[in-house]
Amino acid sequence: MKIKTMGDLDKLREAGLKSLAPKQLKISISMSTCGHALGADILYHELVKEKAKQGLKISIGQTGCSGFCNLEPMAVLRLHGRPPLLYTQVTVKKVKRIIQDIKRKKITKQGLLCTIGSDSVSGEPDPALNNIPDYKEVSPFKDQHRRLLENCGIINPLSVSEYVAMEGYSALYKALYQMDPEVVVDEVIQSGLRGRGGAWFPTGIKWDMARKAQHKEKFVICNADEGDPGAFKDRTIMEGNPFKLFEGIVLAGYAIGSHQGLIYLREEYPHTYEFLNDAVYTAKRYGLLGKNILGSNFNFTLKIIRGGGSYVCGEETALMDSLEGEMGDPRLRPPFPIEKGLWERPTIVNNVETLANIPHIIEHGGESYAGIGTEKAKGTKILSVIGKIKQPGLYEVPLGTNLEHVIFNMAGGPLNGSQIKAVQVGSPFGNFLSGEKLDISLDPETLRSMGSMIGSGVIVVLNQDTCLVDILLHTLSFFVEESCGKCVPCREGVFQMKEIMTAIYEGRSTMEDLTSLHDIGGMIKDFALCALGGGAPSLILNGIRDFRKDFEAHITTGKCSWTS
Amino acid sequence: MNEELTEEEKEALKHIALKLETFEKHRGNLIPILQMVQNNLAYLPSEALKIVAQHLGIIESEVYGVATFYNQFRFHPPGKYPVKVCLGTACHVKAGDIILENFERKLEISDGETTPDREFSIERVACVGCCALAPVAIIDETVHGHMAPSKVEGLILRIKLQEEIEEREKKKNEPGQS
Ligand SMILES: Cc1cc2nc3c(=O)[nH]c(=O)nc-3n(C[C@H](O)[C@H](O)[C@H](O)COP(=O)(O)O)c2cc1C
Ligand code: SF4
Ligand code: FES
Repeated sequence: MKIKTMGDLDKLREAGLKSLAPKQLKISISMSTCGHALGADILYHELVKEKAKQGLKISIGQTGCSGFCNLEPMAVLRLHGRPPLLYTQVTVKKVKRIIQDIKRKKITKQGLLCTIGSDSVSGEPDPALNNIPDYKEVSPFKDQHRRLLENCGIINPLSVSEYVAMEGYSALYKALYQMDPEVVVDEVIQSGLRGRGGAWFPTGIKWDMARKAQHKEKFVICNADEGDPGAFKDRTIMEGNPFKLFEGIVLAGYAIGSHQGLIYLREEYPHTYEFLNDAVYTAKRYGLLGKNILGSNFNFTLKIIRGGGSYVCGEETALMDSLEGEMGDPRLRPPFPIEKGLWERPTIVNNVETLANIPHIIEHGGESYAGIGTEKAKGTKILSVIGKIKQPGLYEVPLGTNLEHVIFNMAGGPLNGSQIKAVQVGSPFGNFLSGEKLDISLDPETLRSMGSMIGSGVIVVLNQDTCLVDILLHTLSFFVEESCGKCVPCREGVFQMKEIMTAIYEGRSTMEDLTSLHDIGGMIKDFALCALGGGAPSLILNGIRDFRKDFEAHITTGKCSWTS
Repeated sequence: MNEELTEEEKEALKHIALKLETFEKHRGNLIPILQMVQNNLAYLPSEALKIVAQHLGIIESEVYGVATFYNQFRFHPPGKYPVKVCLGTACHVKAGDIILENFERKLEISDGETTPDREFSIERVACVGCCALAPVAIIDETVHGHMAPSKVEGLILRIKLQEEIEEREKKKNEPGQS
């Protein structure tokens, strides 16, 4: 069925609401990459079998990833007249127990983390749910501001009606019928949204230039290369709420006058690839992609392209080379992609998270969007907190949230009550901050003033058992492996830095090597063609400055005191 | 790149030649074509690169140059069960390298190699996007989270058992045998 009018959308919304608040028991299992890793598919099939065997009157559904892989598989239980219940680390045994309890009109407490949106039902306190907190009050969701991730893990990601029931596609409808493209661009400028792929360029300004570029063919590229090790926010959006991303992409196309979009997807995400293709197919069936979107006269096609597994190809000009079938190396600018991008056509490249913000901006207006954040950085940011941390995962918070608060109050602090030695915000390029420097605001300006960056929001927490020489060498090896080899500073310089770092790590060095690192680093920093070669030196040099003891220990004792 | 093609691979190559015709002769199709070939053959033998070059009307060394640039392309046949060990940041700080060592020791091959019986191969990968499950290994597209050295043997054993069971089933179902 193609959606053509407001009436069609309303009907779909009703169907979605019914499916989200069903009359009979519904169990939805989280089925994304991480859920699969922990046996979600087995769980799903066992549940289907059990239903047939017992002739159960239940429906079985699925949800996407909510950003806390170690709590998977999760299950959302929907009972008539009650808010949805979220269970974590569900097993076949546990789910059978839950079903049995429900038959006896009981609610299983074991594994029940929280209710989702307790205030949505009749108002009367429910004795069966006594002491069960709402998800806004419970770790790891408390203090989050889930604007982008709100539906992830809650709705069926492939259900258009459920997305529409959560306000989905009203922004696109509004834009196509009531807003001129330049008004859409204006709202995005107003919102103050800046790119979440790492460079933080103002999105509205990029779109405005692309809109003004004269050409009958233009491209919208969604950068889903998600190359920063430790990042999985884009995957979570794509697997948890793909239509929100599609809505953002189509809005971008409408705003700049483009009719073709491409999602350049990270090679290491095979499950996501299959999944996105299903989502594209569904969106076409509903008239949300293709000809006459939502019954308007706007056409837009979307294709999913798998990347080649190269980090540099996340850089926008290298990415376009790769799409053209070339080796991906960063191009010299100008010309900028907005004038001459893919196949020399005006092109905008935007990160998944950036584009997922667009529906909210158009629906509620740029000014309202800018209501949270700092003076220069508006909205929320999804942080990927990983490493030696109690509750690793994705935390969506307003820009400007305190780093210490995120690490200790939201993510539970370091593992096993150990002490934090260093935290890297903006991995892999951001500096390692020592454990005493964590009382800072998470926003691009603050981190830049500390000589670092917020990047795509990967936060690596390291405790006292970690050796900084080891982790810096690991990062440097990553850069060397991923260098495209186009320019000398990176190809030769970063390689030499790695050789010296290896010697230090292996205890074959003297204090003079630290000086050589300084010299080489200083020489190459400003001459690399892209941020990969350009970012490596400061990371190492700041590491030497702030964690000199680790370096000295390696050089003087000739071994690593942290590895057993 | 000089491994002899097996009979199966020669068949697959014919199939690929047919499939190539469905791709427009357009330079931008080079990477999707190489992905298609690798999907069918699990690696890129030089015979395949040759027909790809012919199809697109570019020289073979150019195809080879592009293919070697991308980490995803392989030039040697991988094992039937490729083992990929994640060494992204999250997995590195949770001792992913020890998991790699354990696989290497158990399978008696190094990272980048295939066992002589072509059953297993080992590869390192950067982040697979399940960092909260670190350290992570992938065997034949299935992600295994919270890896520990003690889990390595069990995983390999399970695959070998599975193989053996399938083998027996196959024998049982073969016609002419009781
Ligand atoms: C080495 C390198 C790798 C990059 N990798 C990514 C990536 O994986 N995903 C991404 O969105 N941006 C990445 N970028 C940034 C892109 O070049 C570009 O700035 C971004 O996609 C623009 O979108 P945005 O304005 O929405 O952030 C990378 C940049 C560099 C220099
Ligand atoms: S800095 Fe490195 S990755 Fe970037 S263009 Fe130069 S060689 Fe390539
Ligand atoms: S670092 Fe291993 S899954 Fe992300």
